[in-house]
Amino acid sequence: MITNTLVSLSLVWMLPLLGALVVRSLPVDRTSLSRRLATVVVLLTLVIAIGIFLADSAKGAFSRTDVPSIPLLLGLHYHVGVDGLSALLLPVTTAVSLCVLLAAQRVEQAPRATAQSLFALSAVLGTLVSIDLLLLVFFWILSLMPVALELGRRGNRTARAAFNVVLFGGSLPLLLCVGGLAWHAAAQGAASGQGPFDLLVLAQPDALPAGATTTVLGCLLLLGALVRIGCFPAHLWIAPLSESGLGSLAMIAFSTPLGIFIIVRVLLPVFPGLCQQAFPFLLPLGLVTALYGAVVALGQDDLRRALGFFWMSQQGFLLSGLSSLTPEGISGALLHAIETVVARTGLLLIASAIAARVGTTDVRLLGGLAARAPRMATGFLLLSAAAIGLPGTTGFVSEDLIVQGLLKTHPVAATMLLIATALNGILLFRLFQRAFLSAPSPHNGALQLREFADLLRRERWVSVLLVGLLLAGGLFARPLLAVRQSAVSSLPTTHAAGSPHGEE
Amino acid sequence: MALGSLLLRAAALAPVWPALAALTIGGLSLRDRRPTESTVVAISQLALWLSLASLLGAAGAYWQGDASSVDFLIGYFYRAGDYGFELRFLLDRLSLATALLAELLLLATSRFSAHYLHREPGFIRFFVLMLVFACGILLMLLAGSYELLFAGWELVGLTSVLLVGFFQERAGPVRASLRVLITYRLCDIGLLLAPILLHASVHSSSFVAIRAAFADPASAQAIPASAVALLLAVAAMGKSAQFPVGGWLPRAMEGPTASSAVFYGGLSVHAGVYLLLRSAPILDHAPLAKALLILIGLTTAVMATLSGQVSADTKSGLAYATSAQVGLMFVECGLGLYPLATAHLIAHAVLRYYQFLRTPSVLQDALARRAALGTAPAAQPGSGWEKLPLSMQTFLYRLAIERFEVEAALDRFIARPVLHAARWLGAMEERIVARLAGTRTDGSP
Repeated sequence: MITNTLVSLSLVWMLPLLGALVVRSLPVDRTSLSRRLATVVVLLTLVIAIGIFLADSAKGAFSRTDVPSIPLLLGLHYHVGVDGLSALLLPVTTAVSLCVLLAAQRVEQAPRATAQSLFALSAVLGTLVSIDLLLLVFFWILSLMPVALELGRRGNRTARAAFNVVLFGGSLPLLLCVGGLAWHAAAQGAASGQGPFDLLVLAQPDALPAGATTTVLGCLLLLGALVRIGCFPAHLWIAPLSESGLGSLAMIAFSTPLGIFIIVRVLLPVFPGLCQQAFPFLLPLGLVTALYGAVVALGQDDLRRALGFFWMSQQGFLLSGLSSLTPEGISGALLHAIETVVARTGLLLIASAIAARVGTTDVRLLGGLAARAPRMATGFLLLSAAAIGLPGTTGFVSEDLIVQGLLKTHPVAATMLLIATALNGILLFRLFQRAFLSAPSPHNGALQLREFADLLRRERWVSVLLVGLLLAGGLFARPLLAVRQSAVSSLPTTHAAGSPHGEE
Repeated sequence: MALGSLLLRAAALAPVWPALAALTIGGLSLRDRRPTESTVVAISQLALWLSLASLLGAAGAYWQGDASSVDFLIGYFYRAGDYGFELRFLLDRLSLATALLAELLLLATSRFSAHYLHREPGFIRFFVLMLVFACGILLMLLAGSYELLFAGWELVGLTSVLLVGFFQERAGPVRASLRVLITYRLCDIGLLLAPILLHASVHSSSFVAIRAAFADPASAQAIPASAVALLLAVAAMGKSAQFPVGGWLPRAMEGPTASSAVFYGGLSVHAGVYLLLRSAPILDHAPLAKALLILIGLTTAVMATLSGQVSADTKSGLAYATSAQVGLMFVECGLGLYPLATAHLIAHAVLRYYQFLRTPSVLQDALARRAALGTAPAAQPGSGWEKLPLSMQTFLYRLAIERFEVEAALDRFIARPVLHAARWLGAMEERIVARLAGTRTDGSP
């Protein structure tokens, strides 16, 4: 059983990596073969991920199913595992990536682009299964590399410079933190079998001495996570990346909210003292992020750029939910993390589809697309409705939980989040209206809107699948929340113990 | 479980049938060949009849029983920590009467629209939206807690927005729908916050529990009744087009007549009053909110009546009249005359619904009347306006036709500054990133 787990948890990230290598070696013109190969590889990965999820859920509680830690070289240990936190993220990430690959525009189906996407997926999945901090940081940085390389190759200086914020700002603090831990381990001199970066060891109460060093290490980790989340003012990279036309690669590289993941996976268990002190300060950050993103998005004329700021605003919700440190708030934030990825990916896919058809996503030049592409309009509308949390969708559940978690202690903050939600709703409907409704813009002389094609069959089914995922998550929220129940209740929340409904 | 109890619980199915029908029609439209009009109408009618049957079963069981209100919990939608979203329904005279009214109006609308929208490009869209609306309004009317009421309320809001913008190739309806959406979204914050405040003090947001909490003077002290009532009033004002956020209602007339009738003549516009009626125990402990309701209701009634007198088209005139009547219902709620408000609501909904459906034939009606009378009826003299000095008349006329400048003020002092700030911040960001990249921006904001 243990070897089975080891094999499946390793395969889940190795398979896309192998796929990437094979696809990369194909000749440049074998577009359809590379696409088919990638689809098969990701489908297989999805099967394994679902298998892991089911095997884990069959045991009732989603506790860690650990496999032995295998020392590789120096301090690096190969230690993987899965718990309620990541068990759900594995299949969701893979499914979202599959959708992205299926709906990718033709220009993004060349072997190189496909290989990059597979590589990014492999790194993201690797991050999710890592139980060793060094391994986790390694995968974390790898997942950013394809985007950085591709932006550099395209010579998009603005987007590249903006991306450096997350590439360096998100990685260097983590590397420093790992370095600090290594130094600590060397000073201790105790070489246990688990390695100095093992998260299970580090999470034990007296693994790290309470003191300034530990606080600094925790702060570094938090800083890296905040940059990756895109918290104000480290959000500068989100909008340019969203606008850059990187399409499927960016969507896959950010198909899991790894910033939130590392906070819950590493920061909360390893640095509980710091969390209790620092989290109240995250609330204003989260609120500013949510409101700032919502307001700035309203002033944008480019569909993808506006969606970038919407993305930022949603990250603010996650942060606010986490900072409440209540079971409701954390459950809500974890659910919202999934919801926001699925809805955002769907919206960005439609934006890429528009860009591929007419070469722009500037809503001043669009308009009246619904008449030519009713299904695309419906898809955009449904995804928007899900993204802002219409009742019956996952977003409704997650936003409700976040606000419930906050209201007990911070009623004003909850009100501000609700204002941000209202602004987000106005934003998405306004974008929909400007791009899809009313008459075609009079300023689009050069654009051929007359021949604008509706969603292709594969794009259509992907949209249906994403909307279906959001609806299913909203209508059957209980099992979804139950999956994370054990993970959430093991976290050091403010009043996890005394809850009457805690044990179901 | 006894038959009566099962029948009562069938009420929970009433919103489910239309939702299933909407999903079915949506699924059928995904195929390359879209469903025919007759299929769509058949599915809609079947769902609405099934929904009516479920409701009638529950109503029958309710009249057989001797309880004045039946409150039952189907289960939990989701739970986390010590918070759970209850699927709780409440059957009493108010909810059953309004829900039956809603069913009847919806059935009539689906029948009417089958011919009225024949060969309209958005035929399927209209029916899907109407079914989602049916689900939302029934959920709202039968809900036993604020959370479930809110879920229905949101569905009603969304479909309302989309139906206002039904003729999506024209700019007017699309702009009007955005205005409706903005009003709804901002006012709904009140309805989101109120139940959470109640949760904090009563530990429940079910109507029965709240009534019980207010019945006990000790626990009533702990509830922030004024704050909750004011929040609920804000939500009700948005949905029922009251001053100062009522400017959307006349513009909403850009939608198809059938939806105007069922939304703004019949059901959606009365949702705010229904919310107030449901919140009667809270209002009774919040004199401040009651005073506000009276003030708002009276202001709306006066302003809408004046604006209605100068409006040049039938549908806008009806919209203003609706706004004025709903304003009076707000006054009734403010005065605590809840049974009167309920009767007013039902009577007004039926009359206005009929009037709206009749508007497309208004010229024909006028001709028929003239033919029957043999002469053109004399124009109604102004109701005493001529006694006012001319300058006053012009002043009032100008105010009325400009809708008292309320919308202009909201645009100028709220909408425009926000958009301006958004543009400015966006341009700032671009400049910062350009500096990071070492490139220059082209100077355009």
